[in-house]
Amino acid sequence: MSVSTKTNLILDLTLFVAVLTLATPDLTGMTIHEWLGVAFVAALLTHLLFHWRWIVNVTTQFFRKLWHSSRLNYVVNLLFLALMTGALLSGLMISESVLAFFGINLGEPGPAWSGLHHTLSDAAVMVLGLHLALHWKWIVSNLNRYVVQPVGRISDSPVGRSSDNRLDERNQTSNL
Amino acid sequence: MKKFLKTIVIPLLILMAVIGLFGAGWWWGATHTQAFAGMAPGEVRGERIRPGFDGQRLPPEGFRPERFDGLGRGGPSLTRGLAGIVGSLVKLAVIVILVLLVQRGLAWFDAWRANRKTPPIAPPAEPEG
Repeated sequence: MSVSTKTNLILDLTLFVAVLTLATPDLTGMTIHEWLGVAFVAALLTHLLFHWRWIVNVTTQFFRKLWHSSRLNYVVNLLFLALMTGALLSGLMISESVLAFFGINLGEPGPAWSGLHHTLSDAAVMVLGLHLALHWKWIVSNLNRYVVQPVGRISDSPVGRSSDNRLDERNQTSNL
Repeated sequence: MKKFLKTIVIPLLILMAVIGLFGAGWWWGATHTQAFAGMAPGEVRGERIRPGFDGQRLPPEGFRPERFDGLGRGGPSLTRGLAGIVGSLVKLAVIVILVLLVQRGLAWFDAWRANRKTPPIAPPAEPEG
């Protein structure tokens, strides 16, 4: 699947915000946390599909001669996928809203599932840090290209400047 | 030497840093929050109790029962939520900075090795006669 860099960036930023929100159930409350976790599976699958060609290429060449950085990336990504899958599955096991919505009753969940969910989620955030660090150049250059520069152009444009001037004039008259 | 550094020492250092950060977070959670309260050992071998008011004792005055995992299933809290987001961002920033520093270090090491291996440029021979 060939996807533009802009689309990739938008999805990745959405995923990043979703992970931060998922890692903080206090912010949303447990019900939204559970449903956000379910929605995250779909977003994660889309992210994997967007990078499917890379995944297939590296998988087929993993044990052959391969640039070491790609191999490291692959291992980190695989670990992140395993941790996220584990966190989402253990989250489902202790879920109260999602399973109830589908009419599934697993009884009182044991403390092990809860412990596993917290451990895997914490570890996933750590591995996400590695994932971000390994893609740092791509992130910085594309954020600069698609976010910082367009915003800078808007503020430098005549429209932006004239609206700024109008604002200044209004402020001055209101001060008078 | 370079291969040893790249394949063993550097990955081990990164792994230790990650495990150390994770361990520090775990330790903080265990000592400063109720999150791991269920793991407190009881008086009988193998027994796990809720510390503080188990063992036939009455709960403290004003105690409100809540879920055992320490989070509670109450409503959301903006303050705790934002604090959690900032905490996650700090964790991520520390990891990113550590990895970028390691990458810079490796690049510097490569450049240093390459410089050391390059033979000094011989001065041009003086024309005879």
